[in-house]
Amino acid sequence: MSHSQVQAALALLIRLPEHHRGAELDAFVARFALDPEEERTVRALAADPRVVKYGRSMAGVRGEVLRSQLRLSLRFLSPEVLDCLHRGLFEPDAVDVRFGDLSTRFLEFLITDPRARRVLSREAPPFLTDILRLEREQMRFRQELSVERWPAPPGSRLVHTAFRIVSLDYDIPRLMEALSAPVGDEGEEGEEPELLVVARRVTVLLVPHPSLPASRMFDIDAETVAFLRTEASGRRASRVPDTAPVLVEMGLLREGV
Amino acid sequence: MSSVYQFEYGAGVEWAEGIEEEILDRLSEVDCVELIPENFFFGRRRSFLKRLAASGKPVLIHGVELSLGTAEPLKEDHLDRILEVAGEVNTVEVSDHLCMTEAGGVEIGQLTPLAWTRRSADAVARNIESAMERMPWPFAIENIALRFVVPFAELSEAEHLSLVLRKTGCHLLLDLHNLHANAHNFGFDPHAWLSAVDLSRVSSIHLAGGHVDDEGTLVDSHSHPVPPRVWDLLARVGSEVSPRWTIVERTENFPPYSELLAEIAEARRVLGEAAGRARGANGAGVAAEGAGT
Repeated sequence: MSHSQVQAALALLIRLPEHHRGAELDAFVARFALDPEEERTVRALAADPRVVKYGRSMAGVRGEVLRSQLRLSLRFLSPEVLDCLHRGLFEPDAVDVRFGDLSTRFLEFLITDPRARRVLSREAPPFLTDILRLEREQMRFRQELSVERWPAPPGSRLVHTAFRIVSLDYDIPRLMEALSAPVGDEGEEGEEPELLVVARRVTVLLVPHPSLPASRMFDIDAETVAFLRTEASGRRASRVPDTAPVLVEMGLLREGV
Repeated sequence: MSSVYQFEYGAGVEWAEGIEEEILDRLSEVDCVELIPENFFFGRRRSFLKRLAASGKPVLIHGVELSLGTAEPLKEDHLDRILEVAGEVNTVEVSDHLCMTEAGGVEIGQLTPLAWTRRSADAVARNIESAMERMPWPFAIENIALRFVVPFAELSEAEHLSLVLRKTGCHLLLDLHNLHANAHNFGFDPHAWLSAVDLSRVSSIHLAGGHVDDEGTLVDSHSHPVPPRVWDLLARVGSEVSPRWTIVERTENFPPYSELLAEIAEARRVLGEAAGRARGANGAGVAAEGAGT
């Protein structure tokens, strides 16, 4: 029964439209358990310009998804480098990735894959890893925010546990502040501000934006981090931090605590 | 026809993010709403579902990722999530496509043609039957827009589709723009295609408009008004059967919402007139009442 093998071969031909053709085709066909008729079908599909066009179209859509969703990372990474890493290194090993997971999986790849790290060390600023990690956490957090599963533990002084804490090696909050400065009328891109990104360990708190499926980011101190982690785990923190009024304003901490 | 609904030809719109507010604000002007359940998985857009459920409006649940044509066991967890969404609203039909979107662990991400063989029909029929066993609603399968055709087929597309319908007893969600686009792109007569399919299985219809790309391919992009040839196909179908539900699909390049409502009204008019002509010609009722329940 190799009907499923023909389908698997076709799926790969579409997913990786620049692979498995020409000199590579024999080795590709040999990977599947095909009878002669099925092999003839797979070879014909590999040669069909409509299949190639379809595959390229889908690859193009995936590239557009990344370019539209990785807005923060693309402030510090050229679209050409992103495309090169995506098509050349990421896609061949990520044929199981769905559209919905594409951006977070790609960010994970950029953060961890040694080949990608080598390229980025040449093509991007040193603080890019922090940017990638922050954007990945923002995206995951945004996805999870749509699911109503953020209750605070019984007895906790927190209103809910919809927050994320991210440690960074550079002062990214300062960078973000500079980036969010007005850049001209009607949202036009202005001159990129001259930025000095300081290598300084900072911890940021992501909390839900009050009206959008997005997050807000705050630079927090170690005492606040410890308080939030303790209360979210169901234990009682020994001391309420000085930032309590700000946490109340965020809707994270109960009033009067 | 059931007396539950106060219309003969229910016509409505497909949910899209760009028109969500208009859909809710003007629910009384459509007979039904179609949802792609994958957009509502994991509790997403729950407030929309709640408002839709409160209205009691009939809802068609139209999946896009069940990959029924994959020669592997049905994706039960995916079906669970579809049924969860369907259970939250006044569902009247569940559907997906006669295609695959993944195979062998490879995610294609788009509706991809099947080989038109008996073996492929067996495989998709097994998955459809497994899905139907798990739901209380009528199930329909949709003909897709073809990007290519798997060569050396045993059957024509219409024969393959008809075989699946016979094997499973499921209904047909007939997408007339997909048919129109396929006829344009692959050079066949859509009326001959309709003649080769058992139209009595049609429970619902999709209408849409697309665009022609640089290479002359008509793309089913849901981006333009329903073209005249698709209206002609609707009249043809309406002269033979009475589909219960007709959906106007518009998912990009949105016009003013009133234009979509006008297309919905036109669908009702075309189907009503076609049925009237058929009754006049036959001196009796339309040949088949349609498969919708």
